[in-house]
Amino acid sequence: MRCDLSLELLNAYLDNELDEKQRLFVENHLRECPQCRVELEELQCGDNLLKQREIEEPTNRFHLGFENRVLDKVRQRARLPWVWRFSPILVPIASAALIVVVVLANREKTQPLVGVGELIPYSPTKTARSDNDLSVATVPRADRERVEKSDRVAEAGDLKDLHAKKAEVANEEKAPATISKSSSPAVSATGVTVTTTAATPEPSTGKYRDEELMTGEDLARNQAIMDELNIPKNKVVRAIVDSTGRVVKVATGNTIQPEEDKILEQQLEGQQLAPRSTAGRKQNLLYMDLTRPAETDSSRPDSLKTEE
Amino acid sequence: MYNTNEGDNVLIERVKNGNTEAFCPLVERYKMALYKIIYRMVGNRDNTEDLVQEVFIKAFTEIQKFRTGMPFYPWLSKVAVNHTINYLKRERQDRFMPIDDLKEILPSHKDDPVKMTREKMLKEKIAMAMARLPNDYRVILVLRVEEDMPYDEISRTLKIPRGTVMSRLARARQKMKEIFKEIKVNGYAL
Repeated sequence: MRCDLSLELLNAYLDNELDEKQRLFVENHLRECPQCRVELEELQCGDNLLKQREIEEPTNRFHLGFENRVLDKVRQRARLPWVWRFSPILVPIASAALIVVVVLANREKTQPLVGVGELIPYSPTKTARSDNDLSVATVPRADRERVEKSDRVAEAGDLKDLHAKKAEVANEEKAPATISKSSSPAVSATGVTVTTTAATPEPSTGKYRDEELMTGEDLARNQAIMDELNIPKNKVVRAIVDSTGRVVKVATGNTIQPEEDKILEQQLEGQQLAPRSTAGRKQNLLYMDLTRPAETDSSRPDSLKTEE
Repeated sequence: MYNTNEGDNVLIERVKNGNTEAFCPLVERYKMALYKIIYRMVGNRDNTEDLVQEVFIKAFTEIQKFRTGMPFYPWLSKVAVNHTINYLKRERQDRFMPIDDLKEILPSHKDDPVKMTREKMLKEKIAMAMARLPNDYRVILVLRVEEDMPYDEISRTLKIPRGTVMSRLARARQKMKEIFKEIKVNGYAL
């Protein structure tokens, strides 16, 4: 157990760093305290040992030509442009900026192709439908990859439920002639339209998103679903499906801007309208056009007939 | 050509005015002093030589900050100490090394036991003890005990208050004493 004289004071006394008053205080204490005298001896002894520490001799390289090597480096540094001299500062800043750019670029890529909250637009450029054909047409759209499907089944349906009534009203009141004309489906067409900018489908095979096919079975199943729900012909039915092929959002109404249809959406909930997409594309959402064309011009709504 | 007999301040003024050659005698004059102080902190010859070179380059680039008329070596040693501290931090040598590891890196005479005199063994143990000290303690002991630097100068060099110098030095010496006891250094009054 040592006394309460601070070690700092004892060390400073050893190092001769105390003023006169402090030095006298410590000396008086040391006369009376044998423990502190032992402590001081140990400190002194430790210092003496440290001073005996050997230092390895430097190599010959250090003795010969060292000055010239330093001067060479110094001259190189003097010749460097200011950009390099400030590189310790600029490099981290540039690296951080690069990381931000990369992160932002990747963020843009990983965004879903179609937002669930978005309105489902009607594509007036939709083309290449032919009778009894699974033909596929590529229609480039803006900056996002989009796949749009149109499953058309030439089959008449009865106007029994609410949707059928709603469709009639929509077709009679809202459908503008210009869009209807350009986009009105061919008579008795049964086809699939896939629209993509990133991956061009093969028209002859009706390839779906590069890897999967919208088969006849798929089309027949969709047709059956629409039949079961008594969706009338010429009623614009648009759906957003996820990569598992299941319905996310449904809209019905006119061809310019169909409105969200929660009732039909609930009815279609759980139905697989499109083939399951490949892994890694789970965030992709697809547009599907489930509108069924009328079999003949005579079956089309009167409003369209008069416009033509 | 440069004149090696010219004073530090004359040479430094020339360097400041763009005469790179004038830096050569300063390197020649102080390289061994820097080697010793850096070696004491690092404990490795190759690393020390590299660090000495880096310190001179750093001193050259910062020579405009040196106030002509002041003694050059304290300024240079301050650059060296801080550069070495940064190196030690980078290398993460701030940990206690096992004695077995130290035996491998320290100069050893295991192959020739005859030369292993008592004095030599003692010096090895001292080096071993220093290597086991944390960086802060080792640096302050080097500056005070081996370089005989006054407290105020240590305070300026390490940019710490004088009170911190006193307390850190006291703790460093206590730690050193513990290590000496642990590795049974002969000749230590215990």
